Amino acid sequence: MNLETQIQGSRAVLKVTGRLDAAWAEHFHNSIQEVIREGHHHLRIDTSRLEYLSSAGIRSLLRIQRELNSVKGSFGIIHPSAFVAETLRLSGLQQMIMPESETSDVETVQDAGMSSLAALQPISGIRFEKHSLKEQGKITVQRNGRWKSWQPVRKEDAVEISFSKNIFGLGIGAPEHDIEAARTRFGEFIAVSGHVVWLPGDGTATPDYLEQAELFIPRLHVIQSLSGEGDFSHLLRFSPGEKGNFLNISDLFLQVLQTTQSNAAAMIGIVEVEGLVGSSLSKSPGLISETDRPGDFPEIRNWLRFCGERIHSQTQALVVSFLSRDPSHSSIPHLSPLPSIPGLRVHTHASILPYRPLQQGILELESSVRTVFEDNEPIDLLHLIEDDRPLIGLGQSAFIRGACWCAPLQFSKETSS
Amino acid sequence: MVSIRDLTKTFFPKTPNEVKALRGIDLDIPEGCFAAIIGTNGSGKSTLLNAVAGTFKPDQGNILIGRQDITNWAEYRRASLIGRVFQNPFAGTAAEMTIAENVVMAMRRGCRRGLGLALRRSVRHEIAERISSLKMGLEDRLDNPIGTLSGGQRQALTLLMATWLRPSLLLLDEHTAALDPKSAAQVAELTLEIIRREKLTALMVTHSMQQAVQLPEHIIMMHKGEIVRQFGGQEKARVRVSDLLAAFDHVRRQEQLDPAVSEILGSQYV
Repeated sequence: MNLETQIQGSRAVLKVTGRLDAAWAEHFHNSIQEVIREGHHHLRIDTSRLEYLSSAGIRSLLRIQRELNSVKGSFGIIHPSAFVAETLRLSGLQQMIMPESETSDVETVQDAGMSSLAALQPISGIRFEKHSLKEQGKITVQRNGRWKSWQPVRKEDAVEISFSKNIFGLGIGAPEHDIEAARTRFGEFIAVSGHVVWLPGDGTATPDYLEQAELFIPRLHVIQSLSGEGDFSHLLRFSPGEKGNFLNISDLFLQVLQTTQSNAAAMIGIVEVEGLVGSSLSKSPGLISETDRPGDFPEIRNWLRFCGERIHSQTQALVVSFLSRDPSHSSIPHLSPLPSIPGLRVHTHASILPYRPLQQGILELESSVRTVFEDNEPIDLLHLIEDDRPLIGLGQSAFIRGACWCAPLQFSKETSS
Repeated sequence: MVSIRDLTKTFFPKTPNEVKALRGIDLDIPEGCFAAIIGTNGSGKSTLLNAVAGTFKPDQGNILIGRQDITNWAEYRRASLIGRVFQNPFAGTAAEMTIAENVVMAMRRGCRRGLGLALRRSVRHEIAERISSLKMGLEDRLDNPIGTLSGGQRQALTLLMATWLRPSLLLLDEHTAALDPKSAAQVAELTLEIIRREKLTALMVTHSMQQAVQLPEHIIMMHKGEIVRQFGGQEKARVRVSDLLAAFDHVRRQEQLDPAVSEILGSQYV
């Protein structure tokens, strides 16, 4: 099977030659995914030279159609051979075939909400779109939990928090019914729009997740956390100017600060991953005893998992970041220095999921997060760090494209004091 | 019940070729438990098995089978408690002797072997009956030299011989690794059947993740002479090959957490 791609305005036309059967369906799907990742959400499959279409091929066409529908894209078969037209008709899928005269309303879809676009200081090879969401939008950040890193966890260090849809956050916690039950399972978590992903610190290394539904609101016992509440002022979108380009997370942070015109900001991102560098707990801090020294080498190996290489390329990450270069925030716990930008202090967690395309233009946070989790399970969760070891360092996390909701942040009075 | 305490062995100590093959192994295998040891090359899994079998004397530590401390027992003496099957199908049996003669030897395992045990009719009958349980038709070939059997047949027979007198511990050292896939699957199935039927305590070294997931009740993961992870009970029931590979990957990555990374984590992991 061969696939040729032609870009015609806002549409990508893919001419498929050969057989689309079980042997080729996966390759076909992956190739089309690549085109979708490049930002083409209006696809036409030219099947004039398609020799054979089996049920496996039809299934992959349906999968692509469903993915594009979820991002308000469009999909259709053009120039079907008699055989393809007959197969689709017999399968009840003739609506997939587009008429020759088809003119799409793609431009209107794509341009929706672009009026608020503003120019940003460019970064080589990356295109940015800045959308204003709410003037004066601001996030108030609260510090929760009193655990001091690597000390034994006391009962009074933990606090129970409900992560309803209007609160987002990151930290270390566990969704057990009480602190003692949580003690063996404390691990990193991320909470966005009623979705909580956490990595149990019980050695399973498999992220678990909770979703708000009906009356159920995810609750966690947290021992260290930052949570934010309020309105996002901006949506920042970025994509590569040409294939192979990517954006380092430190450059993304600078763009967020520039966009929000502030020295401290909160950010939620849904991003396609180029590579992640991070760490996570492999053992619950609730198990630390007076004699343990988890922060010291080599004991640290028993408590923290280090990625060892840049990982999770080609996946999607849901990222929560709190960042500040305001000197008055230097004493706020849970923010740590980013080596590549002196003066900037950050805390970032990323939950990793299989890739899903995102709709273009302005996005609403809650529905986008829902799309990310739909029929999708988290693969991993990381506390992102920057590995600045000379020569052998892994560098920093980087992204290919993404959508980031951001706003200036202010710490609650209790947190600042 | 097998108890191993602080078992340590260093080969070629204080030389450039020094290998710390076992670094203070602590392990308990309950009565009737079938455990598998997995690990990368040089992880110490075969060394641990050989230490239990008595191939060499450990530098430090103890090995107990039941209440008997066998640490200082010679290899031949341990044979009264331990049955063994090796990777090489040609080890563990005498090729020139007949099937029946090999089995008679196994029937006297751990005992002084004189000329007292002849191949009486009743003994032949018992041998034929038990060999027929292998469903390989070998009961009709009792007088054939064992060297004429295929690798799979020979390994199945070795397994039967090793368990003829119910051993307190059965040691399996990659006993299906040298067989063709079909024979390996047959011998693996037979292993499980015998261990379950006889309620044997068994320790198997394997390179096959699939086998480690399917056969035993307990998995011991070794790396550089240490036990780095164990999967038992409910956790073993849900473990998949991908979980074992992920656990190995985790071990590999942990080694990259060097003092410099530790310093980075100290400043950036809040």
